[in-house]
Amino acid sequence: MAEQVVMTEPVAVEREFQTVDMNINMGPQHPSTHGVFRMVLTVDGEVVKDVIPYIGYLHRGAEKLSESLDYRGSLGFQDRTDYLAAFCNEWVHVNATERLAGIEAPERAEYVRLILSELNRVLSHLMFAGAFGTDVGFFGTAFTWAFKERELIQDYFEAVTGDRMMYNYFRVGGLAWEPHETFVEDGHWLVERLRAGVEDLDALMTRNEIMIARCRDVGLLSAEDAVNHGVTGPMLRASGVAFDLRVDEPYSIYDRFEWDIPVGDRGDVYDRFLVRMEEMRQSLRIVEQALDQMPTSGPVVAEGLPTRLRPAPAEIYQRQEGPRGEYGIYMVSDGSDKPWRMKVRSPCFHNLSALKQMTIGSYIADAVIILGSVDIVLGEVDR
Amino acid sequence: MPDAIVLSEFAGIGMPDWVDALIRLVFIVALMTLNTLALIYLERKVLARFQARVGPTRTGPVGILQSAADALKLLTKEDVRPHSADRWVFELAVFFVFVPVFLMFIPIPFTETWFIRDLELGFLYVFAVLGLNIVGVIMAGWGSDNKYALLGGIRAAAQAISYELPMLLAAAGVVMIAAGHLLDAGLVGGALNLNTIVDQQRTTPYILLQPLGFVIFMIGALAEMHRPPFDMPVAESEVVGGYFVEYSGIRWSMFFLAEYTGLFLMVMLGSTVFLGGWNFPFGADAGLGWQIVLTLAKASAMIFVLFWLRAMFPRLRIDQLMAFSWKVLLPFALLQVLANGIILAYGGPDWVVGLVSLALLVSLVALIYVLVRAKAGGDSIHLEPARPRLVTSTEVASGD
Amino acid sequence: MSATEIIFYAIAAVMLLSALGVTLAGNIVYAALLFIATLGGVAAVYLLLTVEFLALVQLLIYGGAVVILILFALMLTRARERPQALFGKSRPFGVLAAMGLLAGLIAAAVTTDWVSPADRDGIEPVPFEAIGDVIFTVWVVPFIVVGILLSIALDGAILLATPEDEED
Repeated sequence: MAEQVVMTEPVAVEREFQTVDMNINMGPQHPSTHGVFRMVLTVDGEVVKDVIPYIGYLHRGAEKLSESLDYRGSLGFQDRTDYLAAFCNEWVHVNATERLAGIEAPERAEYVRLILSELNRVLSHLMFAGAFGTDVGFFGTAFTWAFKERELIQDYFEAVTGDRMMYNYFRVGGLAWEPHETFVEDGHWLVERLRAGVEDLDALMTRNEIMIARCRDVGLLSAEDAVNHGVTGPMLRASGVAFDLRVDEPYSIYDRFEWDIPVGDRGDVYDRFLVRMEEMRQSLRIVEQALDQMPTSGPVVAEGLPTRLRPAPAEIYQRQEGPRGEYGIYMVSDGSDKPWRMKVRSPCFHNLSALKQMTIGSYIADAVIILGSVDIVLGEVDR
Repeated sequence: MPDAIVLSEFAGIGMPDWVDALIRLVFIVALMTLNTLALIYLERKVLARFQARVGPTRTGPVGILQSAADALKLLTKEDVRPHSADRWVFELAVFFVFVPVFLMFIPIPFTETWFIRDLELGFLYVFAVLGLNIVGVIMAGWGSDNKYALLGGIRAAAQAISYELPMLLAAAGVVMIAAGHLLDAGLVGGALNLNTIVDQQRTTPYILLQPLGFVIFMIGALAEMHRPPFDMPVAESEVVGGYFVEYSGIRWSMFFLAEYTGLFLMVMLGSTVFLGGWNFPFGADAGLGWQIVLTLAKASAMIFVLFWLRAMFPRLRIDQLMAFSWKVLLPFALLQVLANGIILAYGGPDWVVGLVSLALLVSLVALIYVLVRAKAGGDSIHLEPARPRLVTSTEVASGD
Repeated sequence: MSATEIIFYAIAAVMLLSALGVTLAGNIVYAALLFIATLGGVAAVYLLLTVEFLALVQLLIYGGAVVILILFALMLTRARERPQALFGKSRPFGVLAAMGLLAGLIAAAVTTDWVSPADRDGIEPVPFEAIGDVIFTVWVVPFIVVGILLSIALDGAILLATPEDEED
């Protein structure tokens, strides 16, 4: 042995009033990690000195599984990655496949897809508002109020698809079946109810003094840092970048509607909250216009679809604006009936990468609300 | 004031004084256990209404037996002690939390003659014993060998020490006025006796003379009892329950018992000192039955407000909590004491005291409002019309 | 022996044992908790002497003080992870100071002309209103000086605790 290792008693370095740092393990079972996320905080008293996030507890291999099923069969996995934005993800998947195979969905189907996806965005943001309220410390009031409205959306989705969470309703070339007869009337009623619900939540949370004291100037993220971390969605817009794929890379029929993009000025937790609240209103605006414009009759699925899709060898990257940001699917076809490669670009994974920068130097309680403001869905981070 | 009813008169047998006191204490413990069960049930029901739910419904009619079922479950549950916990500190902590809370009931007058003992220094006594409570909390936090518990314990300790001071000063304001009244009546001393304080409030409850004192006292009570929005020591989403995270079964239920009994004690104290307890508005002539109704009605109203606050407010951050106590409440409490002293020393009438206190309260609220609005800084998001366009990467990087 | 005496000796025993524990316990948190027991004993003795006001003030002030002490102990040490070296280089001086104090106390106890408990009824209870009057009239200048001194000490503590500049 070259060196002899001698174990000695740890010698305390003599420094005046030196406090001792402590490691705190938050998660994977912790009420505020929104699933199975784990972060190890190094704290000096209450101030966070360092944070190490650990992910991967919910990895189910959705990408690899999709490569062993045909193009239509793997659609169900999209419901289960980001389970709060199932329609949005399904839409990306069917759009990617349609572009690969050169299929076009009928107009009516596009409208239904858009309405359902925008309502899904509202649903997801409602879930955010509720969970965020719990993080900030509303004892369940924000949560139940948000869930009361979310329940209505789920009822509506159930009426259309027969399922409350894993819809599996979009199809390559259209929809699985015609939406129910009162789709449009129910939709209008729902939009009105949701408007009132969003205003209720707004009255409860937005102007609350403690809420402002807690969220303002916490977890700052500059526009430049946000872009460098690959942050997208409401988080990026809260940081002051008016980037929305619905506008900046228009897909489907978004160019037919009139609405606004909320953009934050400061890039703190409070801005992220405000942006999401405003996005709910804007989504409802879109839904209302879409319900009015929607053709009353017509096919919901393209005619003459092949029983087995065998797209010509090509690769494609389809990205769309999900509730959490840019949800993209990269597909490579080798001419067979299964994708040769399928890769999901999930927004939360990238948004989460900014967590460390936002958290260091804040308090433990801030770490919780910063994580809440990222609005992570672990199913989508780990896939 | 008539003398306190002695139990031995009821029973018809002679008994030493301390046996009498002990019986009353045991009676209070039993009563408060029932009270806790009722409070938990009511809190669940009230919160449920605020949250658009119905609350417990399955056990008994309208779920009224829910608390009893919970208690039964807790009593039969295994009492787990973590292997690495410090045995004595862990197990004794419960009693250090539990016992002081019940000891605090000794001077509380439920009616003119119903109390355990009529302590001459009752008000001071309550605060002295309240300080002991926190030792148990920090023992639990440290003894559990759990970092969440430790954080919760430290938070609780810092919070209790910070809010004790404004609370004491708010109480001092009341005691000053009571002492002034007593002096007018030709008496010296007794201003710290809770029953005397109630007796003073036949026509004007002290909340009218000390609105600022009442608000500071209630904020302090919320903080001392770890109620929202000051519930950081037990914050579910941060420290997962705080200092009692490692406790289970009967020990955990004792923490809960202490918590709700403390809550009840604080509202009893508030109702006694500020709202006129059994006296205001007609208690003194109406007999014991009406007196207890008056006391409990005031206490219930305050408890309802506390439940309401729980449903409607998020929690503060620990540094904001400390800053609020030391930088906002303490100066205002000091100002209040100073103002009282000056007015009373120069023989100012009661309504001047009340008016000055009200003015201070208004300026306190205005200060908080202005500070928070300044922090919020108006609207910080703006809307950009969505027009289809393509953004180049340089445009995005420059922050648009 | 009267009941009062029995209670007194019981309290004294608790105080003595816990005071010994404070100095001998290897664990700083134990020491702090035993210190509370000692101070509680002092308060009990005050009660026994029928000076309730002093007993309550004792609890009120020292209860909070010891909790702060525990906080510092927790912040500045890893009390759980390894035993603290409670006896440092200055141990002989500490022993010397303690011995001196003990000698002084014993001398005082021996030379004082104690009132026997039987005569205690003749002693007036300490009127705290009178204390208050005296503090705010006769002794008002020393009182203010002490107040200023304490606030200077507080400011100094805050100055010491504030980090000079942000690390890293």
